[in-house]
Amino acid sequence: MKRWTEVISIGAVVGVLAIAVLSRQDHGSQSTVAPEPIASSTNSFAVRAVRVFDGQRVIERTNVVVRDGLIAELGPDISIGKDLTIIDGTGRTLMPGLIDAHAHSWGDAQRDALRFGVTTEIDMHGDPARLASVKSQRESLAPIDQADLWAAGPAVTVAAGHGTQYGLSFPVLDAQTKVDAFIEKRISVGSDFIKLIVEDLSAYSSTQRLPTLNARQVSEVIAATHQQRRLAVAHVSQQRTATEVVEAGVDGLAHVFADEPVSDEFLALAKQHKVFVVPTLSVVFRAPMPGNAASLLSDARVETVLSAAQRTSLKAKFSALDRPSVSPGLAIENVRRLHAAGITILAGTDAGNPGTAHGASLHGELELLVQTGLSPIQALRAATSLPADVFGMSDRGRLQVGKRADLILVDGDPSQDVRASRAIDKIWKNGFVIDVSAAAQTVAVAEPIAGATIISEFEEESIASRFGFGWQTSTDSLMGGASTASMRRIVGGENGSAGALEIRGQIKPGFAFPWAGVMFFPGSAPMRAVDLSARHEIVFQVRGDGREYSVLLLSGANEQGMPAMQSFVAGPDWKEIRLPLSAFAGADSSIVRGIGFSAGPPLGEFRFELDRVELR
Amino acid sequence: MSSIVLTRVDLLGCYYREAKFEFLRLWRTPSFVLPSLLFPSMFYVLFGVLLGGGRGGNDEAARYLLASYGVFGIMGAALFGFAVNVAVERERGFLTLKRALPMPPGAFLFAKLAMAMIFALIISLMLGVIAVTLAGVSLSATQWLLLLTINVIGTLPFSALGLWIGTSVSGQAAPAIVNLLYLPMAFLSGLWIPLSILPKFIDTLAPVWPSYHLLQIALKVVERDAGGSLWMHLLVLVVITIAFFAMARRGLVERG
Amino acid sequence: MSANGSTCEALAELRDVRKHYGKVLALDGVDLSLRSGELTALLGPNGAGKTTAIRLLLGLDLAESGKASLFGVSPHALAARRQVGVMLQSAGIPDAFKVGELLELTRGYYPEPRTVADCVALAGLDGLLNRQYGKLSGGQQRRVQFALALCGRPRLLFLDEPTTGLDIEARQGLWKAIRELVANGCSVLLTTHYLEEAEALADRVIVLNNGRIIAEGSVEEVRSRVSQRRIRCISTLAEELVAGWPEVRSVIRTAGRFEIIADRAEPVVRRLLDEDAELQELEVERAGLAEAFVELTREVA
Repeated sequence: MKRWTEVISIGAVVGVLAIAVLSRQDHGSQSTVAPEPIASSTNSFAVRAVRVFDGQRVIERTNVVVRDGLIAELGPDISIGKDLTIIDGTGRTLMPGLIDAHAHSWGDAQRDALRFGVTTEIDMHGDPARLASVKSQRESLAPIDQADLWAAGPAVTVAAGHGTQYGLSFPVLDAQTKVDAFIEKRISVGSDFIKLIVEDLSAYSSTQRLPTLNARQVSEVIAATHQQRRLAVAHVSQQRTATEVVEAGVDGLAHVFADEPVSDEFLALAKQHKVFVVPTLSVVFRAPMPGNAASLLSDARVETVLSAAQRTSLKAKFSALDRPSVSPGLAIENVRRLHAAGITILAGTDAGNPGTAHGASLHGELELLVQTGLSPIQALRAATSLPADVFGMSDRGRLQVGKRADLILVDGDPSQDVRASRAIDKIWKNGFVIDVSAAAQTVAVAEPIAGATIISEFEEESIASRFGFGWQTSTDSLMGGASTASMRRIVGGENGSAGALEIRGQIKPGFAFPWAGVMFFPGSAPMRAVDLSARHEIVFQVRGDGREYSVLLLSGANEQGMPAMQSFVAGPDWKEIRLPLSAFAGADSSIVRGIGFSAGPPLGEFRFELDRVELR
Repeated sequence: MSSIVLTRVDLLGCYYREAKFEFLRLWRTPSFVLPSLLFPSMFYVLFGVLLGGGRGGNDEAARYLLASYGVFGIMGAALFGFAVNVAVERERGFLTLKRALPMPPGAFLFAKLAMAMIFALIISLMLGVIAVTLAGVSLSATQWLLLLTINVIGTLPFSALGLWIGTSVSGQAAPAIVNLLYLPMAFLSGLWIPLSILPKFIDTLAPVWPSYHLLQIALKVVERDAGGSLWMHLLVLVVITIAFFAMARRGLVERG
Repeated sequence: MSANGSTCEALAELRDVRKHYGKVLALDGVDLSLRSGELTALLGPNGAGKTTAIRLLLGLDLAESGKASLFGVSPHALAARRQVGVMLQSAGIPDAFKVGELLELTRGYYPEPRTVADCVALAGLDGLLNRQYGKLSGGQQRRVQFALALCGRPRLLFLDEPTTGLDIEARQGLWKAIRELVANGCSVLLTTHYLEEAEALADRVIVLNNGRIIAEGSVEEVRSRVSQRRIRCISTLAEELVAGWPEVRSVIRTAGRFEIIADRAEPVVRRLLDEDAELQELEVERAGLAEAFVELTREVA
């Protein structure tokens, strides 16, 4: 009767507060922090007392346990087993590996991306041969030093349209194409989604025009894609074409348009259709903006992790288009308005293009997005949970129990200052620590070239060259194709000379962009770069079976870079071909690795002869 | 025996008038109104806007501080409104008179609670205006509503605590005791400065303070909380509310 | 001398009530009953238990044993308290309330309150309704409290020391108002330490001391319980001298004017006349309630 109220009340208050304090205490805190991981061969570990951005929101202080490559436990009061390596997260932020929602991934791209904590890339136009391995790779929890891919395969475009200029050939739409079957085929080959290109270049050039999909084709492609229950993502560069594709039901835009201010009508339309937009501001900004290529190069946290190829790529510029109406300011403003209208913005870089570097550019894109008015948290979501939701990545994009342990640990708090995303302390892919230093690239220094201009005259009994490593056959078997090629010196060449090089072979199905031919390596070893900036022209004599052939110029810092191409026809009579180096769009003559002469589609046999090949 | 006249009394009217006149009375008491309404806004402007960089400054910090100064403000209104007023009224006999009069039971408590909640509402709105205009905070309509609701309902545990203090100490001692509790509690539970930049032991012990739990709930709305369980925070606040109301009620019966 | 013998209806009752505050025994088996249409004065020295009795009757405290009832039910019942008006010794009304607000608030508690105009007239609040309570004089504040006590048209009015701090004129005004209320059928329980107030107003007097009722009845009955006489005169005799005489209970001398209380008047008057030939204006009368009160309480002590 006397004091029961007080006794019970005070008891309850003390009890519940004690529980509150204890439940906040880390049970793991009594175990001392182990030294840095002894073996990175394990994909189980724990991070304690760390700030977590879980893809959606920030948890100021919690513990995370990863077991067997998956996030096993998350919470401020979880116990951490003694068997685990414990990493102290004080002052750091743990977040999901980043997702680049617009990339073109070939060569070292996936490796480069991962070195910057980008654990997944969405490839918006690329090699379909990759699609099979892409799926098995991203489903595996095995240790790997590459980012995973979601890929469109090649984009849907028309002959000679945008997307075909990169030297790959692939099926395109024409007026007679049965769109349903075409799309079904794409999906069956393994495209995760369909990228379509509506681009006549009018936003970029006052004179040049490209053929592109017409409105009927756009509608049919999107309808067929939805029939296959896939997303349709469109490349557009104008409000007019953006409106067209959105009205046709497209799911997302691969770029922000900046030909004119986004209209209220478009905002309403995009909102109504729940369209997402990947602004790819990284390829818009040639002006010195924070977050663009130049600023990334001047940020030591980024610069030191770049490979030489990436540095070159960041410094490169788009070639000669006058781009009359594209304004970076307008791009920023349009993104700001799209975001303010509630339209989903995803972070994507268009990496693979000049002025970008896989991985690195996504950190710049985050900063650019913040300048358009996204909060740092919203920008981080645009590179984690949002693309995962949009592209149906159920195993990633969030730091939640059961998700894949694709994680990055950064110093500071990127939810306050998004640039902290670059201060990467650790990267885990599938729960395995990625050793960034081991991936540091050897610097590619272009060799100087000898004074000779003539490469080969094939006058002697060999196919030796005056300089460089020499000639080799080159076919799509590298890419899993079945085409064949052989070469031999033959007697009797151009204009009565002693000999020539005969190349013959067969173009066979197997790779989407089949090729076969020969390759001259100007450096001391295959693919070793030489500086040809003092030369201006490739000159050679050729005759053959009347097919169209291509000269491929492999250049640039990236060994896997897309070759620049010029085509020629090998007729029955000897003919001199002169190709200025400047005609090879996108090539970097200061870093040339190889010069190829090869046949492509159509399928079947080919034969041609080369004589007196010169680099003048 | 039964000479009781059963004529209806307008009970709702009693509650309404009690609250109305309590409000008018407090409104005429500058020593309560000024600190209650102005301190949270002043502190928020000082720490959240001026030191935080204002518009275009750190949005996440401004949101944290919007939530934390909201809790700071409503906690002050509830603690002072209850502890000091109840202690003074009890000591001077007004409470006794009220109890002797046929005031509907609960009208007194209702009026005080309504006051705390109205002041909480005013404080929250003032902070909201500052947050939007000066600190550049943008929240969704749902987030604003949730924050307002949390601030208004969040007066309950502190009202209970204040009521208990008001029934336990003298009118002279009450302001000192409330300040002794209020200011350290605000600091130690991260209402002025986020816990993450305070020494670790303060962070560890923060759940001791009721204000910590309300703050965490408010921070969940702006997505800056420490990741604790919502139910845990609610449980603490509910237990505190019930326990202190129970003790206060007993104190009132015993000591008047 | 108990409530049981009453023929009138009991409005409020204490039955064999005991109450301690800490170790102090405030009421020790008190039976008390307030009857309809009467003004009952509750008298007693400080600490006698008057305030405790009122607190129990109003339900502000609980009796340890025995029973307090108001209109036949527990004082905690709202319905019972709606027929009661209260004016406590210290109202502690916060300063910032306006008089009109207090009146509106309090009237709202009652089912059939008096009109504001009636309250103003009865309590003399002309021109005060818009004033803040804290800015009124002490007398005005008491009038406000009185208005709050009567505004509910109570059948029973508790007035705890209502005229403390009032000047003569204000006190007379209040008495007049109280008489008017009683004339209109309102019953009153009055505690006061102005004994003349009880003499002037009370139909019945209850004297408490040390937690017990030591006398109860009409003013006349209580007064008759003591045989003392009051002797008044103008004399040059020394006060100490007179105080030392047999039969003298007390002597007060103010400006040559004596007031002597004595058990029997005759021996004292005789000696006064003997000792002071110049003595003037001799008066002898039966002692008042005040003397009875002192006498009664002293006997018990």
